[in-house]
Amino acid sequence: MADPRDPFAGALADGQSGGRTNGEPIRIAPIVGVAAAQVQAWPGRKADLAHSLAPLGLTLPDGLAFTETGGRLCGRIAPGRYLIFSPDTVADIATAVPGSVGAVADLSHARAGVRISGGSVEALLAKGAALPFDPAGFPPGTLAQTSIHHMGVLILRRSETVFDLYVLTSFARSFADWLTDACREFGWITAHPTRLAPTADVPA
Amino acid sequence: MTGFRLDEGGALIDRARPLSFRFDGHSEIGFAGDTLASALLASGHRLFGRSFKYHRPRGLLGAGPEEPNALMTLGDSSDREPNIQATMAEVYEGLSAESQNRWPSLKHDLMAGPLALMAPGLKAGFYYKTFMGPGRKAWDFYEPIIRRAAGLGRASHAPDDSRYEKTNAFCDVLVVGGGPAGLAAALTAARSGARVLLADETAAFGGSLFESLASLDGMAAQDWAENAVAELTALPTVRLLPRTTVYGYYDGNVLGAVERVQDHLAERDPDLPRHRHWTVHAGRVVLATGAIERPLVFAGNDLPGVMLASAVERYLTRYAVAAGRSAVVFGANNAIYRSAERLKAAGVDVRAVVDARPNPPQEPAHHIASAGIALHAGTLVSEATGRRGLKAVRLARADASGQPRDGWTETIETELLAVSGGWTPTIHLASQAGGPPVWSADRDAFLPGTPREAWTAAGAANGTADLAALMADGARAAGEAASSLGFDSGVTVVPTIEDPDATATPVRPLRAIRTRKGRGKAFVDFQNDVTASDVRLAHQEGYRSVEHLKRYTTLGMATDQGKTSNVNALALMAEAQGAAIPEVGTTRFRPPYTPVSLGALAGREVGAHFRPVRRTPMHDWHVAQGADMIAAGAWMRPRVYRRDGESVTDAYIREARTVREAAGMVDVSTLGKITVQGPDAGEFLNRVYVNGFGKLAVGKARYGVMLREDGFVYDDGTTWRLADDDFLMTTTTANAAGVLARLEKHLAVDWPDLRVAVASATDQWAGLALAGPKSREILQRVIDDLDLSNEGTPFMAVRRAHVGSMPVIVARLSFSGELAYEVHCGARDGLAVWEAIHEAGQTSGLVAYGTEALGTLRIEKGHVSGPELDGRTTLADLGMAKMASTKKPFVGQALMDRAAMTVADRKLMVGLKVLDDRPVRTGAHIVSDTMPESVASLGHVTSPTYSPALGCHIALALVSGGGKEGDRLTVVDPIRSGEHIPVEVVSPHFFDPEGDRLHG
Amino acid sequence: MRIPCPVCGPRSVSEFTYEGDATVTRPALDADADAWFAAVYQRANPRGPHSELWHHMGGCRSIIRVERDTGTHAITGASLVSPHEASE
Repeated sequence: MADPRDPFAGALADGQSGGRTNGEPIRIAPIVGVAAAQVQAWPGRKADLAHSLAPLGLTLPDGLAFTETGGRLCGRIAPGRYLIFSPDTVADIATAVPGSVGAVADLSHARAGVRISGGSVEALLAKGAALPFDPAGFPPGTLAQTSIHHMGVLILRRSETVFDLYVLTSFARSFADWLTDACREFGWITAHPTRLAPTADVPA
Repeated sequence: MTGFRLDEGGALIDRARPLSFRFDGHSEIGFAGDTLASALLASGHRLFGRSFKYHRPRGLLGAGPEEPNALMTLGDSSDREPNIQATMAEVYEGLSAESQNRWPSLKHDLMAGPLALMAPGLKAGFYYKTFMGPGRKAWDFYEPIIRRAAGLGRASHAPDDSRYEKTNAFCDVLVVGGGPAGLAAALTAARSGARVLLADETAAFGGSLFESLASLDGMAAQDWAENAVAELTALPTVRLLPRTTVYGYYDGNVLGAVERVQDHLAERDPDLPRHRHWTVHAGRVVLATGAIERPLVFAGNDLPGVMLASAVERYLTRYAVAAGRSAVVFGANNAIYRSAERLKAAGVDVRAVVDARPNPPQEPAHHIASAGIALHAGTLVSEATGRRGLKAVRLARADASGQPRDGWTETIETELLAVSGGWTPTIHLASQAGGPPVWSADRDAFLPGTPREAWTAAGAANGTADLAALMADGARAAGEAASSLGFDSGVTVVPTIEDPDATATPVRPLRAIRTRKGRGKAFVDFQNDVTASDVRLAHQEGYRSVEHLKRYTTLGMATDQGKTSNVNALALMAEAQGAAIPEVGTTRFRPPYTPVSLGALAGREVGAHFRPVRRTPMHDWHVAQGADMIAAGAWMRPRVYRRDGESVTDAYIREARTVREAAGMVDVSTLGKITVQGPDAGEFLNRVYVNGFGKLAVGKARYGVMLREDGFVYDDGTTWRLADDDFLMTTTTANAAGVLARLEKHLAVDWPDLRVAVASATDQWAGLALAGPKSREILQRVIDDLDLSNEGTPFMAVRRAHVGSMPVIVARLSFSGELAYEVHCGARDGLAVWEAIHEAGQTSGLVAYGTEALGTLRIEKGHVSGPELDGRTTLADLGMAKMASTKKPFVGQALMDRAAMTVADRKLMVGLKVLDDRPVRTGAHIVSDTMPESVASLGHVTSPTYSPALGCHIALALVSGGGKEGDRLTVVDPIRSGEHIPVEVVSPHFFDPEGDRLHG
Repeated sequence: MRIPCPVCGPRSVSEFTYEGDATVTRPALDADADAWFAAVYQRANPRGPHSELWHHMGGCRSIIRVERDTGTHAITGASLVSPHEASE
């Protein structure tokens, strides 16, 4: 019985597979137990925001990239705007940021995440988005926001062959449909749901 | 029997893999690597189709994508595809092919005879001149007959169940064309370290190297090509795309290409696409697209057996097929000598070389003579004769202007006439992405114009003829492209070339050869059956612009898009106008270069994958309950939950009635929700809403309306204050994205000084509305930490609580007008909270209700929604003028009171009560009661429903001037039904107008 | 057409929503009807260089000001419209 809290509603349950069987399949794993918060600093207050978040062990990245500290990922998604993913809670983030420095919105339930890995991940993503996915054009540790099949998606590159993808919760099953269909020529298998983990611990 | 297979040779065929296929119902044989054209030609077929208009017998003209005649329908039932060029279709075991536009058979086409007789009445633009009467209706009679008589293939009506995919590719250098210039370019760019994409429309790379007699770096040309491909294949920075046509060049150096992944396979892998569309984002592009040989225009030039000389050579070298047992070669350049020698070496009886030049070059002429082939210099073929195929050619001497002179003539019997009218560089992509092509008199061709995107043309596409020169051209173009992107290896790949063909070729422009009266037709555009006399006729009738010539004669408008006809037509036009070719100009080049399957353009966006679907956390519960699910934008929502035997109407009436009598719950997760946070959030909301929010108390919600800046109503919703700096705005489902965009724009552009952050929270929250007299007691059963009474949770209050251990926000809001509570929780808790409340309500008769009943309830209360907020209504129209604050400025304020928006006869919102038992429909018109035949519409119905509370059909409507309560009107719906339905104007607040039930 | 988003890099035009002439400044909300009429309705609509706003809804959601030639689609510049600096 599918977990009622699972936005993929069993579409990516452990042990499913499909597509061609004559190569290295793409592994797909839902990312579970992730809390998320969007933090916006007021103009010119970036330093103050960094200062507020430092006691929580968080550092703010530059560019379109993400930092990893204490099991949390902090991604910069627009000037002054950050999306923080946490394996537990984001309540402490809201309390840490004073109203004069910025605003914190809890979006823990608003995103569904999935991790894809394997040799063909770049070719898979190229089907959905018109961005360069080679390591030079999209280095590990950086992120991008784009659309795949009319669904907004946040893409974080965890390593050369591992990407984490986040879509709006309401699109989760449609996104799973797109993903498994696009994987047909590579073959795909679902792996055990994974938790947010530092890149060093992310299996290739 | 004419064509035959040679015993040896054939660079592309694999004699170890013979295969069988079907053509026009008969079994045929060929080899792996054959095209449909080469296999049929090898078996002696001459007849490949019937022409579009005149149904003339046609054979192969060419060997590649320029082929205008040999169009076939491949496959059957769902994968049947018409108008495929036999020269591009690779044969596979079991292929089924049919010729087109003939009945009952290719050989005996009944249309041919009558059409030949009618031909004088079927000239260019005939449909403006003949078949014009009697009377205007006559064309309605003739047209279907003419359409059935003409045409190419017929498409299948079955759904296309092939899989198609689309993808993107990024590269530093894209090389289009895998011939000698393209291979030199690709190698040069690849060796510099750049990421290279090399595409060729055929299955094998090499292009004209297959026919070349040159040695490159000491190897045979073909072997050099194989080595080049091997080197490129081994490099991870190079992607080779055979069977891939780059069809379009777009802004930003983006190109479209289609790869025919599996069309050549007998067994197709269902996990792979049939066609794959590539959107290529290139740093630089090298257009090594080659050139296409021109046919010549003379009487009888469309007979089967008349072929392009380069095509004849291609069939010899690549497929080991000789196109006839006897041949004559005709042209005005050196290439025809090589063609003649090749044919002779293959065992064909070459009866003559006809060179229009009075002084042909000595060496080639000498070779021909020693091979025992007759050479006629300064001579033309003035006519080709035969019935269903070429039988003989008639020669005449050329005068100074290249036209046949009276006097001497000779007739030579021959099966094959190989013609060469010169070469037209393939400049389509260059012209799509550049300025108009430039005429070069010494090349006798149009060359690429000024680039508008980052491309360079190289090789034959640039007018270069000599092999060494064109490879150097390709290498240089790629070298410059790579180094402009920062790749520098200093290596340009130019092989050492010894080329026996490399004698400088003086080209004599060979134009249309005038036909003597009554001696047959000279064709310019084979596929659309346009003759030289049609072109002259267009001129005679006053069509001077080349764009008019094209459309009047339909020249260049067929699936081959004039690849073999455009330049010949321009030459004819120029001659008629007494102008030079460059003065005539060219028509506009547009993508696609060759036809692209619609499937490739759609990719996987078909069927269930057409658009993504948004689901609420309770989706599966609704489906399991048997709800009729309906699309609301991208969302799926439950429309009604039908019980046994119920219609949709029965269901929504029962649901709405139950809400008012007991309780109901509806999934409102799709409502737009936006967090509005920051020290200036209150001020921001004051500016975007017509009413005030700055002073809203924490823990309260307020209904708000926003206008567009032109003063019309845009959207409505409730906004809740959760803390001093923290609001949650709700919007209609349909406008959620639009409202967020508008708020972001205000903050970035108009009011950058406001410290406000907005974010979409629609997916963060699952929501339900629990409504009805029993709603409070039901909800209190599952909530322990909040008093839901009027004192604990007054109307419009917003409170935090828990259902079980799950945190929720309870907002006492009511869209239905009943005592009601909205319960919102984190999306992942949505199903659990929903089920808990549903379970708790069963003893009280709680039902789930869907969007239909949701609508019924709000219509009964006169609440506006989408149909009333259609972008044409004002606050005053909707009876909400008093909501507009007079104390603070807001968006839309300045323009909302313009004269036309406040006139007396504006359509105002009213309620309508239907006086008999018929429903009215959204969009139906309202006319005066006294003159139902009147055409004056007084307004329209916006939101109709059956009202269980009133026991009759009602509707909200917009009526000119509003009307007085009690006025009688008529609803008419001339498009959908002829009914006239009597209605009475009433207050739009049909039920419980005082709102007593809300405060229960 | 590819639009060079200052935050995300060059992206397909399909990721953006067009937001009109960038040279139009909205007046104060309580300005008179004439001032608002001009801002809402009157446009030069030039053929040639045009300064316009695009909203990167399918990406970073920034508003950017793009210099584009309406005759040739050639884009010569793009800058962030935001109280934030592009590097913040």
